[in-house]
Amino acid sequence: MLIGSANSLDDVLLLIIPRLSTEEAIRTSVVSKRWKHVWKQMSHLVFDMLRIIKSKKLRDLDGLNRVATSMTTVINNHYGHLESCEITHFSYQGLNGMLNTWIRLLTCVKHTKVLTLRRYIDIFDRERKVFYISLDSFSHHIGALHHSRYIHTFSKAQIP
Amino acid sequence: MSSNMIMLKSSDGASFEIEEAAARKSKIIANMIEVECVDEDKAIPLQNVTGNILALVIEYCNKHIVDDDDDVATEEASEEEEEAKKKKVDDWEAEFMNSMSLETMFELLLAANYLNIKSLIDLVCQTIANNIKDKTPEEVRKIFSIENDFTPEEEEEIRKENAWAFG
Repeated sequence: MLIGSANSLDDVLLLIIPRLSTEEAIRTSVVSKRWKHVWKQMSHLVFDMLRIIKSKKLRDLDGLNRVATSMTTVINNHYGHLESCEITHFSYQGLNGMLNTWIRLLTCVKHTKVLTLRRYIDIFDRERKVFYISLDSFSHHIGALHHSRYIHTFSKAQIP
Repeated sequence: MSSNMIMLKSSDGASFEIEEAAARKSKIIANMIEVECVDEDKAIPLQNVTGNILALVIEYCNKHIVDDDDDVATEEASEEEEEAKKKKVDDWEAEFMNSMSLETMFELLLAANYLNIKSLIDLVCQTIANNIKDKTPEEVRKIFSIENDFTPEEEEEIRKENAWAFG
């Protein structure tokens, strides 16, 4: 942090808003014009589909798809690069290619240094279907990839 | 402990005497001391900090320098003692923040940022963030006395753009 740089409210907001959860931070964008873009400058974003689905009380695939699509919009609305991003998703987004889209966006466009992926084994995926993450998705070098509950089959050069 | 005293002068001309060890909580003052920019008979002028805010900053620094000393004295303190001490600091900080208005918090944050006191920046930011958490935009506007400068259409547009975050 630059010494003495926060002499305006804008800089102060930039110190405060990243301490909120990603969705709380985004919700401050409607407070006033001054607050509208502050969240877009955060360097760390956390997307937890399970939390969103629960808070919106969604129970069907339509709702799930809407949330997934609006999550892509949020990533697109964010300014510049990201230091890190965490995604907790349902298997369904792995099956329908949405996860690949996010990874591509986060690596190629947002140059995310640390990416954390969590697969939530969900009611839409009782058989734990296998899905593939295309390695092409990781065209930009990321500093670290953390992932859990994925099965590796490197022989196919793919991470299911 | 060295009890070198340093004089600080606020933007409105109030002078404060503070122990060097406490003043070093501020990176900017610590740097000034390192490069021997500090004249013992002369107060350091702080143009961006008023007297009432500087008094709070000094209260915070004094409190935390005492705690740091305790750490050294009781190196072999048990876990429970450590916990009890941490709780004491937490309680003090909670009360310290509780005693001030939001406006004061913002001024304190600006001062902490200007003086580069990281732990105080963290404390004030977290307290303000906790004030915003779980609040509707209307409530946030009320807390911060912010005028809504969006038309209903503009507000609706933002909600649509970021539908992921809005219920």
